[in-house]
Amino acid sequence: MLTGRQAFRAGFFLGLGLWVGSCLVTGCAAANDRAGDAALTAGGAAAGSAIGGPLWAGVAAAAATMWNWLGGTERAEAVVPPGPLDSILDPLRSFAWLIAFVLVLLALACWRFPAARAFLMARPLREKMAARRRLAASLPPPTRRDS
Amino acid sequence: MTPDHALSLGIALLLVALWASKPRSWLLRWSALAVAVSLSIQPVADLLKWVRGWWPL
Repeated sequence: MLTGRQAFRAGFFLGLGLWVGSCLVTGCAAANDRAGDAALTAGGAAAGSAIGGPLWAGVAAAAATMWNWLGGTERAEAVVPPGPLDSILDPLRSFAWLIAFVLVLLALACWRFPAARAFLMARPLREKMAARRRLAASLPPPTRRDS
Repeated sequence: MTPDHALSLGIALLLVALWASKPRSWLLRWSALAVAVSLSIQPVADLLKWVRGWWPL
């Protein structure tokens, strides 16, 4: 069974392979459409595998393949009338991107700068206390002379 | 949903797989989820609108 990280890597390379393969078969003019189809199949398989295991990877990949085969993306593009959801969509998306950018910047800072990593990744006090207790438990009990 | 939205949704699913793989760094894990949520808001909203138009509740 794949681990989550292996599923992520397999999904990435599966998507890349599907995209290149379908571009070669159908021609590069439809490369953008094929990229969406390939990403849906590979992303579904990777997420299904990482979350639920091989069975769910198969189910998700089959569902994405059926969606692509039936032209689901084009069908869903056809009629999208404006609805009440539109008014909250823009602020919601801006807020989500703001949080994502802050987290990505922090992750990059931790990756490149040891000082930022030391500051952000400092272990909480209770973890340090637990580690100290574990160390104390592993030592031999004090003798009368020690006490 | 346009092909661009399908691509966004697929990349978001890949990032969900990264989140589910529990990387050692909690910042990497949660930033992957945050980017996945941001990428999938528009496609999911379009899909919901399409489903609503197709099957009015």
